[in-house]
Amino acid sequence: MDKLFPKSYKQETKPHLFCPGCGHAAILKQLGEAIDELGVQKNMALGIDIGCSLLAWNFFDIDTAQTHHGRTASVMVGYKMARPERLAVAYMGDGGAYAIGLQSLLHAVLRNEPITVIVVNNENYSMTGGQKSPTTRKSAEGGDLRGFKGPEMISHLAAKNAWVGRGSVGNPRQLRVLFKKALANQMENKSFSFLEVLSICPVNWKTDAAASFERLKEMEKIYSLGEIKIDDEKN
Amino acid sequence: MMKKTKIIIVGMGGQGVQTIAKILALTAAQKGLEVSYIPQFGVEQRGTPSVAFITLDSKKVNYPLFDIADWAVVLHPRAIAEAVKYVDKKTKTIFDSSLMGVEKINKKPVDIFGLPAVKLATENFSSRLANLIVLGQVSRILELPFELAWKNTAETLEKKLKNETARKASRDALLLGYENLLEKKSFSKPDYRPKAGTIIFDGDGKQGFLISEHCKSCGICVAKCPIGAIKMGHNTGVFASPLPEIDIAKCSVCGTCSLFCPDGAIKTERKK
Ligand SMILES: Cc1ncc(C[n+]2csc(CCOP(=O)(O)OP(=O)(O)O)c2C)c(N)n1
Ligand code: SF4
Repeated sequence: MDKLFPKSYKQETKPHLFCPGCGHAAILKQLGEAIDELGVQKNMALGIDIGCSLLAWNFFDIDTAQTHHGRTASVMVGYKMARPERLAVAYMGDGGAYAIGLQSLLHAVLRNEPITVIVVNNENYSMTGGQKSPTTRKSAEGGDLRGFKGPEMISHLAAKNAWVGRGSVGNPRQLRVLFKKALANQMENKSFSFLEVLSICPVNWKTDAAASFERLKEMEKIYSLGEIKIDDEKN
Repeated sequence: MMKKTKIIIVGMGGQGVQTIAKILALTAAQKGLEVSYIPQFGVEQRGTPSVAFITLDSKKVNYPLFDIADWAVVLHPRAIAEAVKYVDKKTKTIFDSSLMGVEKINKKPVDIFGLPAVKLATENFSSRLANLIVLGQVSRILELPFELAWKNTAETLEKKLKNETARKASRDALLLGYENLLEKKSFSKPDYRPKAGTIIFDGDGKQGFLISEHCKSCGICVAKCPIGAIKMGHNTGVFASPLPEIDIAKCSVCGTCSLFCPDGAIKTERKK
């Protein structure tokens, strides 16, 4: 049988701690594949937040640091200052990145800090039981479906040579390519990279597999996937 | 008048401990009892121990926690440790005898009963319904009326019971539990073993692999398979939930299942 996991996984910690059908696990799998393909496993550090992302504390065979809620971007900025030759990746939930940690994120963007920030958008605060977060679409039951467009916002603030994109667990192959770009940008351009990933949360959404992916399809209609162009006029 | 009754239910997250507790609490309250229900589980919500503390009384329940339970319900061997603190010789204990032997419950209560819920559910419906069998059993013990318990079950699980087959199976599972007579036997060995190791589906020059220790039965492979070659089968995995089965003759080895599986539990390939 061929391999089931990316090489960068810590095999002995599997089955991992994430819930059945968790989008985080599917996303980390593609991140692992991207890390394998770029061969950067031994040359990077992963920062994880409070929230379900912290369940990845022993997920990879990679140096991993767990931070206070919303501070992952700042911690990884500090790490990068100390170890500029290594890749610094901050991985967090939408609550961490867009609510309590928004200021940390924005300053990393504005200063064009050479780190890669990954934000998993599952439209709620998962770890604490599915409360509404900034990304919960207004009136999800119908009517106005406004959501929080993190990558678009950042594309207006980021430096010319920054990289911004959005992927989805609904498209794992594209996600892997986007991860590679987000990591490569940090190495090649020494600039800020940002990737939001649309995700599913079957446990808190109270949806089965099929209904989870249906809701994800709705999200994909509202939020565009792929690389998002930097609007550099104002920079 | 009902004497104050303290119940602890333990299992692994995802087995339905809190569903059982919630429906019991609702039903008891509607029967006119005073109820307190405290859920306790880890941040993971699934796959780690999950505990429910319930107190029923005809008088007001002033303090919801307790030291020793009158009834303990143990749904999974990995959650026993959560229950033992609350069990003494007088605690009537029900355990899933399909998943564990009685010797696993170390402090021996006098009244200990085996209820092979996962086995009964797997043989008659699907292992997912084991919690309703337990709910039925406990409802009868607490003298809660069946129809009221079913009404609350149907309302609580409304989203999952949209189709008639699922509804009927759930009602039947609840009834099976309600009508089950508790036995005292030796229950020295679990009479049902979850599938272990890699299950291989072989045929037509193709092979499918399912790593039963990794599969959490999320159903993503079933939903994502473009030709419907995967369905939930009758084998139960280590998480006491049903494992998917690959119809290998139908399988086109497209790789979608392994691409989407969050747990690296499934893989198909052509024989080399
Ligand atoms: C400073 C601080 N505030 C609040 C919390 C409580 N808390 C723990 S996890 C969490 C939600 C995390 O949600 P999100 O960042 O969206 O990640 P997810 O769990 O959805 O992946 C919150 C609010 C905390 N631990 N620390
Ligand atoms: S996608 Fe993976 S974990 Fe989910 S049911 Fe299929 S094999 Fe099991």
